[in-house]
Amino acid sequence: MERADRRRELVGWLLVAPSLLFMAFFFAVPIGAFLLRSVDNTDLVGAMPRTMAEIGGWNGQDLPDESLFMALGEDFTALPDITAAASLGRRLNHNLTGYRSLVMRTFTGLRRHEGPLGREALIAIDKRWSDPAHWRVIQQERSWLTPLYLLASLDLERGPEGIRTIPPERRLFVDLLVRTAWISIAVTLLCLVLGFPLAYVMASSGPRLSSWMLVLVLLPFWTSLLVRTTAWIVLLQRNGLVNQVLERLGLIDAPLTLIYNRLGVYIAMTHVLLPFLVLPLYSVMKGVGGDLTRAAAGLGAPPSTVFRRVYLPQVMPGIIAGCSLVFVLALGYYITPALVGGPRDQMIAHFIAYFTSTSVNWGMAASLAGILLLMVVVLYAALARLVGLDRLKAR
Amino acid sequence: MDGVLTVAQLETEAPLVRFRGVQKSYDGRTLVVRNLDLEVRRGTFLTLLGPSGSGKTTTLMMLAGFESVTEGTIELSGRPINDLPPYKRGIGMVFQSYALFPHMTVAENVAFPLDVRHIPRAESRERVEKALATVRLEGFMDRRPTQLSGGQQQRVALARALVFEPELILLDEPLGALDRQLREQMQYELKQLHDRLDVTMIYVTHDQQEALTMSDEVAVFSDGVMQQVASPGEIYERPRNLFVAQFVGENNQLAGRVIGRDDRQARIRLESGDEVSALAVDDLREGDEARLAIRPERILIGQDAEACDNRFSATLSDVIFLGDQLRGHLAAFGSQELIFKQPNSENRPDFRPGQEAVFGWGWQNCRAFRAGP
Repeated sequence: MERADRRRELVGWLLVAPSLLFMAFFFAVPIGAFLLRSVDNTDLVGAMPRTMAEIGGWNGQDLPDESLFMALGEDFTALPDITAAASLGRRLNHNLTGYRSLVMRTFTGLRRHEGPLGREALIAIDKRWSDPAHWRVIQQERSWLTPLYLLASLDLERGPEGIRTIPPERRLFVDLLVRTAWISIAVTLLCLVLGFPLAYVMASSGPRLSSWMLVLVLLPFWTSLLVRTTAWIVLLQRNGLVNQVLERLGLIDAPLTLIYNRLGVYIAMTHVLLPFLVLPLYSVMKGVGGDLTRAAAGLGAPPSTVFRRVYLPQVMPGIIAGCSLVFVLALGYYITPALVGGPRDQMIAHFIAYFTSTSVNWGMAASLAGILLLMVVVLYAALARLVGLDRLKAR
Repeated sequence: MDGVLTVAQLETEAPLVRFRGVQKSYDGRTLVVRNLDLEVRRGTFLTLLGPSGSGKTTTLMMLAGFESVTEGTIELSGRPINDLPPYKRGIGMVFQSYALFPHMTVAENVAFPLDVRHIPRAESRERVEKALATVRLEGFMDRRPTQLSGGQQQRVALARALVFEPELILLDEPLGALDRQLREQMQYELKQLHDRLDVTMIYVTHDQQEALTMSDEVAVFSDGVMQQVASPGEIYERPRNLFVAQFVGENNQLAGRVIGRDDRQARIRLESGDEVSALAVDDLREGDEARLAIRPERILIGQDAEACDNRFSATLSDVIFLGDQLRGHLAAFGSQELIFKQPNSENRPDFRPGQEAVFGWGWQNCRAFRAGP
């Protein structure tokens, strides 16, 4: 009996093995590898092996001694070409602005330099080597793992006395995270407010009407996201349709600014994400039999009580499924805010794209992505805690 | 007592529910319920019986307030309730689907009508316990509806409809989803409950056996029209039209033309040329097309038939032994097959298929209706 059970279990595992392997290789491994880049420091440590080995002994205050200068000089001369130097400079520049030019000057200087390496030679090439601050950066980054990017994503840095916030004029990411979360919450609520009545009408009307409404809800899915977003630009721009109609009707004197600001982001994102709330909610509402609400009314509950105590608990799985879907999708939105938002309305995905493709700072891209992932996980955990995971899965 | 009605009598005599000229149409053209006039006395167990689409459930839904009334009025305790929303009608209702709230426990379900009436917690708890005891589900307070069997769920639904002590309880095919044995047991329990609690129950079913066993009164529906309302015995023994005769119990049907009429007795010539006498239910005249209905158990065979005024010969096509009774088919009147039932008595004749037999019936037991609409 027990053996038969074990056998069945084994067969079960074997059956799911291909999809598990697929998930592992094409999903878990790449994402994991990408996320590791948020703390990965091997490029830097690998490029300066001698310096990194030596710098642990430095007290961090005085000018480093001759041997450390020697090690740095050897590391720099050992760099294979100017591209390697450039990437090293870019890496150190993440810690301290200006480091890139320091590295490049030192690299080219050392190529022309003849004679012994050491303190005098390096300081002669660039005076900045006499500033302990530049050495402290290397000392900080001597480990294989670095908290640099994760701290930077939260507007923090490592100072001499531990972690501290960066100066206000350079702060960006906390604001960005809050903004991303806020836009997502607002869009989710707007979708719920608009989508709930829509799903309700769809679920409670006759089969003909409801299938037509379903087609209308699905219609946007069949057009590209880009087309839908640009359609909103046409509608909402200064001399767009909405402003023209409002002016004709005499409701406004001057055109309203409906786009390239937060309002435009809300409108376009809500429109694009609405089906993701309506569809799960509709399917759950469809499954709630009319008998339950009728029974409640028959037992003496006025409509508001029927709604609150019988209908709402029944459709709650749909609300939660729809809202979490919209929220998670909204968190990662990129194109829509980029097209219809202003500079202050860009969301986290915009910066991830910027760090991956424009500034090639994979560490920052990875740690922002990690934080995004963390937000989703926290949301899911909170929901699971609040309503129970089985209810999320229900239906 | 003669001619004088006391106030108390008036009150008890006044019907609890009264349908007056009630019509229902969904599309404004076809009527689902036509010209319904029906009174339900307090304490009655009334069954609305009919095939699906006959208007019985619509009638119940109009009374509960879930369907609007197109024409006419419905009164509850003498008060018109056409425009009263369901939650103000104070009618208990049990659905075929049970309609238990899946997110609440059994106790919460039963307490629901008390909660919405703001009954204090202690009293509510007491009444819930009592209601659950009434349906013999004392130990099930904290279960979820999904953890109960169909019969138990139905009992919870019943307790929930009873707990706020409504005068009227509506039951929409409540036993339809149960298996046969459980259904029979629940029929008995429901009837017991009705007698014990002295409530008025209106019960919808398409099962004529159920209607006959449980009801004080049965209203038979067909095509949106109430065909007859009477006690089960009356419905069975004296159906008012062909539909009721056909729908309730078994009936043999014969077709013919009226050739003579003497008070209530009609002479009818069948298509085979045989002449029979029957009880004229409709106003039949000479030359009218008629349909005859006779119950299988009213067909007498052999010696029993000797006293009958209708007597014919037939061939026994088959006989089935059912224990307490025998059931078989007679080939008579040309191509007609008649069903008969005989109680299994000690001195029953020895029936054999193929055997020639004399059979007959008393003319009052054969009911003659006008053919066609």
